[in-house]
Amino acid sequence: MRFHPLAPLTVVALLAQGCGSGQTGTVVPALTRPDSVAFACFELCDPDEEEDCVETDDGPPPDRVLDLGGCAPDDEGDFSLNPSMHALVVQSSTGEVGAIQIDGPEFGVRDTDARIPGFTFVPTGEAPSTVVTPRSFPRARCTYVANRGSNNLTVIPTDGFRASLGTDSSLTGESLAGARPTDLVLSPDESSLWVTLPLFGAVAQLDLAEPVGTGPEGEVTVEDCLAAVSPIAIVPLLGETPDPVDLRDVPTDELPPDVQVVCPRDTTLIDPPLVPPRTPVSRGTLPSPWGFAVDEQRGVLFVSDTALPIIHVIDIASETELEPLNVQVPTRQLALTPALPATAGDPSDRSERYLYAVDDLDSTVLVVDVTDPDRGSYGAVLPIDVRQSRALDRIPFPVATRDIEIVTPGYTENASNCVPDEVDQLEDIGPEFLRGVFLAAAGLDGLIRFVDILDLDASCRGDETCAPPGNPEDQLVFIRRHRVRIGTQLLDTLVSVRDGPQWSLSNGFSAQVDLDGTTPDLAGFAPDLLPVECPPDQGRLFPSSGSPILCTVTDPWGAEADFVSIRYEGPIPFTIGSGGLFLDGGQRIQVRFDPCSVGVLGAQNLLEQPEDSPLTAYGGAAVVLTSTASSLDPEVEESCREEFPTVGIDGGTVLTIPLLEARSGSSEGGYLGELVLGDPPGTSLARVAECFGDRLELEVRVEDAFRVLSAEESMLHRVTAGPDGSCRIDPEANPRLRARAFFDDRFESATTTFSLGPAPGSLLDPILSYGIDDEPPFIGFSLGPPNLGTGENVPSLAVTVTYNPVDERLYGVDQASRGLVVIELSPLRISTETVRGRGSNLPKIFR
Amino acid sequence: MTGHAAQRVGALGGTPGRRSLVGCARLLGGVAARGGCVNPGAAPPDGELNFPLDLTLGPRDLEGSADTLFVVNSNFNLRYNTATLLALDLDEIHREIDDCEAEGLLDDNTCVLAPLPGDLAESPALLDEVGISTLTDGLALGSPAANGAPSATRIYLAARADQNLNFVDFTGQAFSCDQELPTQSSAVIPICGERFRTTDVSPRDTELMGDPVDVLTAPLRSLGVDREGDAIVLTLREGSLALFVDDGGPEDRPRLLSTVDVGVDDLVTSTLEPDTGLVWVASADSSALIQVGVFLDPLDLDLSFLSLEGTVDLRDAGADDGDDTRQILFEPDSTRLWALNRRPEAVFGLDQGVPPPQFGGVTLYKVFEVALGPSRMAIGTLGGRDYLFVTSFQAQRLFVIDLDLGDLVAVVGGLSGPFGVLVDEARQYVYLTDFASSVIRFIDVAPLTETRTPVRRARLGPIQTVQFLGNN
Repeated sequence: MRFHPLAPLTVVALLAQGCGSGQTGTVVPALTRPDSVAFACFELCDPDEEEDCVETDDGPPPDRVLDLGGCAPDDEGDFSLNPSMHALVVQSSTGEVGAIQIDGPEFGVRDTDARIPGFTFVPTGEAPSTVVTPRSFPRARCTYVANRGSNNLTVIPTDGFRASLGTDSSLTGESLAGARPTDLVLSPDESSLWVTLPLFGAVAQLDLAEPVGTGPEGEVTVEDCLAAVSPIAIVPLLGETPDPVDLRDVPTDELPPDVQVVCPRDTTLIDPPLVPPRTPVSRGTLPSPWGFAVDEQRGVLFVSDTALPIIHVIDIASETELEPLNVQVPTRQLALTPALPATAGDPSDRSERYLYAVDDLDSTVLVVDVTDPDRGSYGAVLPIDVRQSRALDRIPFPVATRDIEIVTPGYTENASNCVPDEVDQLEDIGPEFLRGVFLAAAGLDGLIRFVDILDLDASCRGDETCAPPGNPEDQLVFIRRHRVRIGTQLLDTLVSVRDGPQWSLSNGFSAQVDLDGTTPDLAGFAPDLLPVECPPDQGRLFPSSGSPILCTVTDPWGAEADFVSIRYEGPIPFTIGSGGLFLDGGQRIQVRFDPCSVGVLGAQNLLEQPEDSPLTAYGGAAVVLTSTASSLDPEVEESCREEFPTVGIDGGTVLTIPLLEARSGSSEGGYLGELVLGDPPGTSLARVAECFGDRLELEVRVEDAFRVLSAEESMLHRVTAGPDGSCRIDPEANPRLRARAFFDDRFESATTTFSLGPAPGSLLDPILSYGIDDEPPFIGFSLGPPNLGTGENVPSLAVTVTYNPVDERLYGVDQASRGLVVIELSPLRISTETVRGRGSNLPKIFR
Repeated sequence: MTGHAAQRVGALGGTPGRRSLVGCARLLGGVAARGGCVNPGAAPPDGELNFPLDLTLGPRDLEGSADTLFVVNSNFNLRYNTATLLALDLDEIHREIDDCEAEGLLDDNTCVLAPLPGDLAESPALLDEVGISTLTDGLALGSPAANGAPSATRIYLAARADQNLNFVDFTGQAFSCDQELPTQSSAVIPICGERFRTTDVSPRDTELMGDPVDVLTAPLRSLGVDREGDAIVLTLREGSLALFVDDGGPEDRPRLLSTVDVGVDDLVTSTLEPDTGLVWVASADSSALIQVGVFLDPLDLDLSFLSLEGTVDLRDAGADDGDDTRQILFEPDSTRLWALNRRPEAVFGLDQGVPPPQFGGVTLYKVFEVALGPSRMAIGTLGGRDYLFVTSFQAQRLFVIDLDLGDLVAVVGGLSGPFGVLVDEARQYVYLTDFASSVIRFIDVAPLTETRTPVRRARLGPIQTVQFLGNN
């Protein structure tokens, strides 16, 4: 699934507006390597409104932290200017936490010591990782930071973030020496603080009393914050690994419900297959706890582990570890949903809970059912993707994920579904308006993508077949729990063919395939495409009516823009232009690529095939020498070029040699593979080695077959190395991972299906090609600069995304360029300054 | 200083005037555009650090300990008429650092070795010094001789002004490169002779064209050739790699065998992937990590060549946009590699041992943000844990990442312009070239083994101020 240029039009337009205002140049670069974000609400001392709010000899008038709820927007949704929301941002490079005032006339990065040039922030320990501030007053008066570098915690009187003559902070937690504390989380009632200690294989717990201010005006000092913290209790983690849940063994009525809203209703959706759990992967034998998620309802903590394939579960009240969840891989960031309805119907019937986790092996995102420990699917990693060429148990983001967060705009205790008759503005409902529960995932590319979990507006979306009267800009609607949120769908088909299908020949001629699968303009040179019955998980691609001759995946979350190239005797990717070294007088070639991993099969590799193999008619590949005959001996070179006059010269002919066997690895020299050659036509291998041994360049081609290549998937195959290194077809792999098509044969792969007719009378390396277009666009939001019209591409690097449930905004950190970006969720856009009467419209971006 | 003085006496003689002209002609061909040879410039004083760029440890004993540190002094500002290669006695340096500690001088503001100009020349820490090609950018050690004698060490240099592969032999205490004093009366540092600044003619008449910026070596045996000697790969900025073999031929110098155009320019560094014979190349102008295969013919080394094998693109993992990679490193005993990038400023960890989520894609293991001007990195094992050390030049910091933990654990500040970085695992120290202030920093990383923060323990040389540089 790709970012569609039309889909987040609104978002892009707003970004352009923000940038075009010329105001982004006023952003002050102050943050250095920003990371974790917490929030605090401050009552700002306003001399215009308070008589005693005057500067004294001790400094400016004080501002006071409040309960975070004090900064909630008003009934009209306008953000509070005073009290004012502040973001507290860890500066991991300098060992500081910086405060940023989000709303109000003086919004921006706070300098906590005006006496020092530049920006001074509140000091922490070394390499701080996480900051938390309690939401409730008076506990909100102290802020806590985990310092993985100095192995301790920092306590900061929160009022100090508004100081202008310096702020004290203090280190505590001497017993954490050697633990590398990484994450912090507060218990639901904020009476305790939990810390992950990866090098201890444990978590720590501290009781937090309500701080008592002993300062001159009753303000809380750093000593007061220290006094409110209890000694640290270490809770060791056991690291026991239960068997993973196999969903195939779970009764159907105990599987998580599938929640979907789709318009038109007859859209064919593919249910992902229930696949067996992966073989668990461990990085060690001891736990290495990393991140937290709090289940307020059950009173448990979920703790990810970067060493073991489990997520720990800790009962907060008893401080004991419960049976962990086996998720089969080490994990990193966690995000837990609130209780959710089991259907898209009544949002008050809330029973379901899901835990999202970032796989620490490959930065993908998985979903775990944590609804009810008594349900059969509790702890199972759910199947999500429908593309059999991908990991089926992952959310199909196109890039690696850096951070995840649950956002819940409008999902209050009394939240209700949208009622069409009560909607004033249908334009305020659509994919870019988030109301409900969603997963926000920050991608490595700087894009924040959203995953549908519960869209409270779904009942008002779609055309008249789903929710009359319908928003004309929101006719096709595809919502499914745990699937990437799809954007505005303006087109009437999910997928369509582009640039073809057409046949091309090596002589330069090409022609479109007719609707009946024939290509009259290339009769005798291109095979016919025969009508096929599309498999259940694919739909028609071409033609748009009549008997289909090309099929592809049409599920909204499985469809993928692509370009498919089906080439007779085409080269296998990753072998093209490779070097080689002859051995044994030319009998073997050592290569620096692994032939099995790229899908090479020689004749002898095909002797033992699985019964279901579609390759029974395949004779194996050929090694094609593309370099020019040469030798350091001029006489030898002259004779070679007489014998092979045109090979490799100016793209001329090639020398084709049958491939007997392909193997992974080689005996010495670190070569990744070997190719065992058969007899070349009209000469000997020894002579070939003599003439081409100097700077041998080669490629491997499929012989008397078509190589099926996808721009998105490359060449899908199921070749693997056997125990002896010899390449073979993996009997355990999905048989639909096919790479080769044949004349007079139906080709069905995980992504496309077609049937080729008999071989034509003349073969001029025919290539069948076609594009697949119009995949559904997803909703995305770029943290990075929009790069519209500037000509300068500034990179972005998403670090964290943090949701603020009080102002219902999302705070993204982009380290590469923008710093902290404040994002409103309904509609999705960069937050703008709301100082009424000033005409200001500044985007909320802080560096 | 005995060894140093003895070496200098031994280098006198020959016909220095002629050699000087040869050197100047080479400079004219190499960096005339930089103005480096319009005026032959002043001879460098003895024992002065002038924009040190790269460094490497000398031969290691069976326990992995080295007693020599080689430093390339790039003469980046062309202040002098030659760059220099320094051999420093690590035992002596660490003795002095220990002395500092005994005196309570615990950081590099107070523990300054050779604090004044000229001090290093008189210090026993300086084993030897020779003049090499100006703007030499990288160095690499050849493999020890068959008898394992450290006296057989050969140091290969990416010599930008010479536009060639240079080399210097090190015989335990002193350099040996046919060095002689130039004719200038003020010259005190001998300059390597012609044989060490040229290579044997290619059997294929291959020409070396370009600006050498990095060099790597691999024993021939590791690449399937049962013979003593080394394969040397020189990285040329304009977009090509050159393969040399040094196997003790008639002239006892490397011979050029092959070059390959990698299709991308602004190359920066190259790294040999262990056990694969693949050289990975970093480019400042591309998000692609380029793979070049080394093919050594065991029967006839002259038939050996380089071949472009493929690329791994950081954009395939989602990098935005990844278009400036400075270095690639392979984690020991792991399937992971690390690519240091400036767009964005981060280290990308790719895992070749984990199947990519998408067929034919790239498995991104982790990304570690660093800061402005990421320049070089090094991996070291300390106390059983693997650490990645990353210099950020403009940010003036050294980032320390615990690869086993998977996160940043320390940031070392107080640096002027850290560039080259090297881990001495045996002594549990990191050595830095602080390019902007022309000093070598010695950072005690033993505290990491107790999860404490590294300490800038000492520096070598007087800090060259910006004003000083600006006047030159």
